Amino acid sequence: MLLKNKTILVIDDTPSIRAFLRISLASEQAVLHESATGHDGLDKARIIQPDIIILDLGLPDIDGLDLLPMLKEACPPQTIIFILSVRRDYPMMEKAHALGANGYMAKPFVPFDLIEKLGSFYAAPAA
Amino acid sequence: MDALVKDPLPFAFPLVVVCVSGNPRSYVLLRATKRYAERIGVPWMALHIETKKSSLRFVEENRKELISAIKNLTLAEELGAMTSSLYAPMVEDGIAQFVTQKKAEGFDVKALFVGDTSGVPRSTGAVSEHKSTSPFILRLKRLLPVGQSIQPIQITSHYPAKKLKGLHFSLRDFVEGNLLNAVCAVGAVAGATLLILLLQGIFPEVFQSRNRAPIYLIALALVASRSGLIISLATAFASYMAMTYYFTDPSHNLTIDNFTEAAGLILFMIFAGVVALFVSARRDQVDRLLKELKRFQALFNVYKNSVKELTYESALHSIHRDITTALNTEIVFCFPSTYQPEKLIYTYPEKINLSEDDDAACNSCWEDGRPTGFGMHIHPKSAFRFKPLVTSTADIGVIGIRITRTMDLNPAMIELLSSVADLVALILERITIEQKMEENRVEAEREKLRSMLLSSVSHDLKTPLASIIGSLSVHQNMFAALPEEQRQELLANALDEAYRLDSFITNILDMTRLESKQVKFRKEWIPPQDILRHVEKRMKERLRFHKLNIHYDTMMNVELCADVMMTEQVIQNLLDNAGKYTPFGTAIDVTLEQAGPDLVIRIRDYGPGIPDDSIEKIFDKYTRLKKRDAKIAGTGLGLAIARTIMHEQCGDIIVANHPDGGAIFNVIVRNWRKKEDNKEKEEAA
Repeated sequence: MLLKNKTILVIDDTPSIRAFLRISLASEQAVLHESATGHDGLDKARIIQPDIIILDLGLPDIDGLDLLPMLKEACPPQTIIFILSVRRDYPMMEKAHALGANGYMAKPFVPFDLIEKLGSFYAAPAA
Repeated sequence: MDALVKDPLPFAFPLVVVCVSGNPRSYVLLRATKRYAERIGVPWMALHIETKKSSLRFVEENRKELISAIKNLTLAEELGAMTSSLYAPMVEDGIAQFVTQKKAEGFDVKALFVGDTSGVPRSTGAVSEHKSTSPFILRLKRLLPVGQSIQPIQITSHYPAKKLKGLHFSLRDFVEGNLLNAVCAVGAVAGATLLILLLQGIFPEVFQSRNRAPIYLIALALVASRSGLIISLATAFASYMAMTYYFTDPSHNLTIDNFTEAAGLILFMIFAGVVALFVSARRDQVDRLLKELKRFQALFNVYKNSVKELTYESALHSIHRDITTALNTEIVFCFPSTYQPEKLIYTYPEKINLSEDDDAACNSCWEDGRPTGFGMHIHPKSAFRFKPLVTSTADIGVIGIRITRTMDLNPAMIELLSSVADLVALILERITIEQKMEENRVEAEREKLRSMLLSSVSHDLKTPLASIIGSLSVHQNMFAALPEEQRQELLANALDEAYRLDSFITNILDMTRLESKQVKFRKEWIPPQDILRHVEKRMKERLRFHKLNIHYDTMMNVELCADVMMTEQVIQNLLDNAGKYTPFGTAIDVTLEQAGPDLVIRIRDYGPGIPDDSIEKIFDKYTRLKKRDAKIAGTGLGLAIARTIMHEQCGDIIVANHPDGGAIFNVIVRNWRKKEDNKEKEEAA
């Protein structure tokens, strides 16, 4: 339950993906917020200041890579931004990291892998 | 060097020297020298002496001479000679200086070949054994060390000697070209006489004998300024005789019986001659300048006209037309085969008669990469002068110019021919570069498109897969913990996405099949209502958040001749498109109308409409791909597929924005009939 009470904002325009993320993250007792567009996600991020942002790169109104720096600016530095994308190539991953992303996972993925990755950011460092 | 001069070597190296100038016929000298040197097995050297002409008017000629001389030295190098160039006040001095120096360096100049233009015309290139009377040769002999042999070579032109500049006195000119001038001359003499008679009548005191001559001289100057020497002299004679006849005592007498009168006639003639020569020389100069200007203008036109040409074929056509007109001769271009670059196969124009000599000269030019044919030492029997077309990177072909009898093959003309070849090479190189750039641009665009297609297809396939895998894995792993409602939601989402995936794959396959013409259309007569009912049923679930209104009341009693499945696919794709791009809750209206001879199935939505600049682009199968990773479901092929199907059925899809908002897709059906007609036809049958 590393994600317990963590505020998570999911920015993805595919309702079914948001649905299974909502269900699986709820079981971790995280507080979930959803946005179907990039601009709506940015507005919500400014208001709720989430601990974690799960960001899809292929959004209908703005490219996720363009949105990423805006989110970094709108949120506190400790906010984790985790990228979900169908683009499975190293240049893209490196670009996302360079722009401030903390993690990257290619679609399709198993939600529990995602939860595990997100949890690792809050796990106590090994002795 | 000084040491060598002071202390000559005890033995001498044999050497043959040939002195070349800018004379285009210097190749004759080179060829003869080469032959001689090879025969006696001695190396040979080509020497050019540069001199400075004192008069400024020779500056331009000097430049041309120098360029031509450099070409001759280049040719000598190609033939295997060493080359050297010296500066001296006179050519003879330079040669003597060179020979003396070479002797001092330890060379024995076995033979010195020089050009001799003084002798009678004879076969070119023969070593002349005659005792030349040329002042140049005689002076050279005096300057050279004692015992130095000279081999004067006759250099003659293929053409008769050029006319003496500034003189127009051929009988032919007089008979043909200057007939009008002759008439004018008679008129001028008559006019001057009448004018004197008239002025003498009005001012008898003023117009005495000494004032008459200037009037005749003015008339004479006018005639001489536009006529040749013969007419001018004839006019001078006629003027003087008219003056003698009318105004010299005894009047009406043509006799010249004293020295004064004879001297007057001679002075008249000299005056006419001087004016005629002076004006004629000037006119000749202007004519030459005009001719040169016209040539440059012609070359400029060749370039200007070829700029808009984008292919070799059209550029060659344009260049051929312009150069043929400008030089008034035949031009031929030859290019190598793609598969056998060593062979010239392509010729433009194709219908040109090339003799065996021409062919041999052309091929030799291509193989050796240097000028051949008429006026050159390689294949001189050819009627064409061939030059390689050399670009900055390679030799691309050969241009051949027929040297006609009317062409004066002087250095200026040779330079012009070189300029033509360079210009043609430049034009063709420009086209090649442009074509390569275009190919690269198309290739880059294709690569970009391929990348976008890959990105879009992977997005469209992986997004539903991500939903399916995610939903089912949550369902499987959390089955016990999940309430029934959430289980159902996960399963429903997975099912929806599976349908979506199926739709993407179907679209891609359909488009592929349509493009490769693998789809067989099975046309049959069917009422449009039947098609729309099937589609409505199928789309009901997908359009559950929209109000789909199919106005069956507008359906006339008609039948369409169409492939049912394919036409259903068209309507389905259009409804699917309307559902994707319009807000939830809005309506989609489907009506049937007759527009002129066509039947129109009209699908109207109430969304934002289509931007004007994208109206036609939406049927481009790559339109949606051009968005950076668009997320609206679909490969962007739905509309492209719909239009392709309608085109295959002789129909069309036309899209427009409604004035009140939303888009209208008009499915045009051209093959339709009323049901009654059908019955009548069947009854008649």
